[in-house]
Amino acid sequence: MTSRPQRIVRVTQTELVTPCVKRFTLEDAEGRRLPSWSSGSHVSMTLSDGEHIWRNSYSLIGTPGETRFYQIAVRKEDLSRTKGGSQFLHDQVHSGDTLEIGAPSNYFPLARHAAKHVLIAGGIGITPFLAHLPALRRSGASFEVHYAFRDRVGGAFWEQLCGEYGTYARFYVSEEGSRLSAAAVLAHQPLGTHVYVCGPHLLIAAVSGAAAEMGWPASHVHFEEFAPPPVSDSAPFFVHLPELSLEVKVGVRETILEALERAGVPIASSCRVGQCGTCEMQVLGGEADHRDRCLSEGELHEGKIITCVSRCRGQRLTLALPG
Amino acid sequence: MTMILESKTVPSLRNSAEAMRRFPFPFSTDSYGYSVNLTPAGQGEAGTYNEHLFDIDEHYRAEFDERRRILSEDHGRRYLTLPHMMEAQWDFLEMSMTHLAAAYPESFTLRQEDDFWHWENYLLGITQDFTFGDPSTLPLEPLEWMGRQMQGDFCLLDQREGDLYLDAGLVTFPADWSLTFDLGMTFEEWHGPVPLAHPAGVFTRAKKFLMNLEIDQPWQRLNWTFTIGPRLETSSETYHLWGRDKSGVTAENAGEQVHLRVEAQVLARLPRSHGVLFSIRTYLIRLDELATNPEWAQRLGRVLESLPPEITDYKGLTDTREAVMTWLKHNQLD
Ligand code: FES
Repeated sequence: MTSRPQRIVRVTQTELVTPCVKRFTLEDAEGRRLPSWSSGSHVSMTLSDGEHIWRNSYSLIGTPGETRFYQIAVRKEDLSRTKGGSQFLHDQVHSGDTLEIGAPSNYFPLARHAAKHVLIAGGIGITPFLAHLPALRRSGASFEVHYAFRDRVGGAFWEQLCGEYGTYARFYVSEEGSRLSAAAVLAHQPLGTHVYVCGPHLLIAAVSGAAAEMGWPASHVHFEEFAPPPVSDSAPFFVHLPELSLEVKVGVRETILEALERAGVPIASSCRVGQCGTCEMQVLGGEADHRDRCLSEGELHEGKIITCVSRCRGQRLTLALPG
Repeated sequence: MTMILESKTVPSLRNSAEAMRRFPFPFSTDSYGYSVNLTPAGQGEAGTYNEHLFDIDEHYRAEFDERRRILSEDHGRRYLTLPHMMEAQWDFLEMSMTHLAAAYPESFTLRQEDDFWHWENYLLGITQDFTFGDPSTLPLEPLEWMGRQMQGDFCLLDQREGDLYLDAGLVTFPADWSLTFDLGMTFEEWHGPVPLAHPAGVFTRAKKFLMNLEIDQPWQRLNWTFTIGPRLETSSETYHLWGRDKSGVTAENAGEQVHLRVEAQVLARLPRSHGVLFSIRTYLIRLDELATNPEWAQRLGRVLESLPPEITDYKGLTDTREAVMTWLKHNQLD
């Protein structure tokens, strides 16, 4: 696969939705229409402050198919990981600035045939649902949304959702002691219901665990993480590329993909959370620590690795460049 | 008894020198090897069949008339769409109109003001104002209405639950298959049975590729077979009409009878519905037309020699292969 075509957009509006979440409105820099898109899509962004380059993915929010502008909502992360891109967007990108984005991709689409759609969001994981909800309302489908966040000030968009989807929306504010129970949400749903979860790792694990226990078919459970699985438990290692006679160190806070990009070896990528398979490479030596959700048993066996999330058990991984 | 459509030849499909020059000759090496062979669609050199995403050529009117004939006789089996495909139909209309208007401004005009669109097709004398997203403002459903104004066949695939389903199509020129039989099938069902000669896993990879197609990054590939006579309509339903011609092919008449049939297939992500467009643009060239290019004639002969028997069988070429090889040997121009 070739690298993705980029497009220059201009920031036409920024708006602080909560103290930590900013909404950006983007328009084509030359005034053309942007590509159409479906709910659940994200765009990847290439951000640079002149010194660092970040490639982050953000869900498109708002009415699907809107082509005059795109909107994204960005949460400012603390600097614990290489999420400096969000920090940069918050602090240094203003109305009038230009940014580089790829075409929208969708790895979290709605299942059109579902009897009912149950959306479960934790924190900033609400963003893809800000596009799914208008799509569901427009199609006349049956749905409900459950949204858990810490406190009323920090919970982004909940008031808007409350106004627009009142009886179809439930909110869980953990500081006020109200907790979302995956089992309770999933119980008594009609046959043929699909559930969608977006949020932190723990929430996804809780919902998929409860669904499996209650006998839901795996094909009815959809999830998207808004950040790669935590890498705090990982150690640094080296990636060796014999074709380029190159060895690159992968630090604790970065992925193989990021380390290679930093070293000037661009690898095609899209979702950057281990879901789409675009950033796949071939392992020639060393033992991989797989953390993706897209490779089949057979592909794992063939020695494929998903470089945006997976790591190495040991000191060194030898990889072949994608064909 | 249901009425069976006639499979007719279309004599006006003879190629001009220009059409022969730009014919999508599918062989780049002297031997047959199965490969998926994907290249970016609509990004070929100027003057080639792949310059634009949707190719319009001198056979535009002949194909339009032939499609109208087929649809007037057999509409129910040639245009089929499931109700959930309406959004994908609008995707198709948007993609085709914007590309055609940009590629052929002398033939098509599109003006968009929010959802109010104005379309002009100077080749057919069509002028239409309509509201994007509202099917009641078009004379026909978007896929059929726009598909009739283009060359080739169009399939819309729905992507859901880890699979692709053939859920809508306008298919009047199939190469030995049928939309009626295949509607609603998954990718694997539609492509089976897989001949032995295809390397294991090739369809799994192809499916994964399709499911990961990106917006604004369409791909194309060429597929080929032989057709007897200048016939676009070769569906499974009419096999008894066109299949019998194959036995009449001899080393003497192959030059005027046998046509190399090349399908330029385009694969594109439909952005609003997250579906996939699979379009099939068919080109025919008579063997004696093809042989005016000695390089092509020589290469075709070598490819046929190297063709494994399973593939010959799968493509339905068993009757024709020998005759074509012999004709090519006798008519090799130096
Ligand atoms: S970029 Fe999607 S799996 Fe790595």
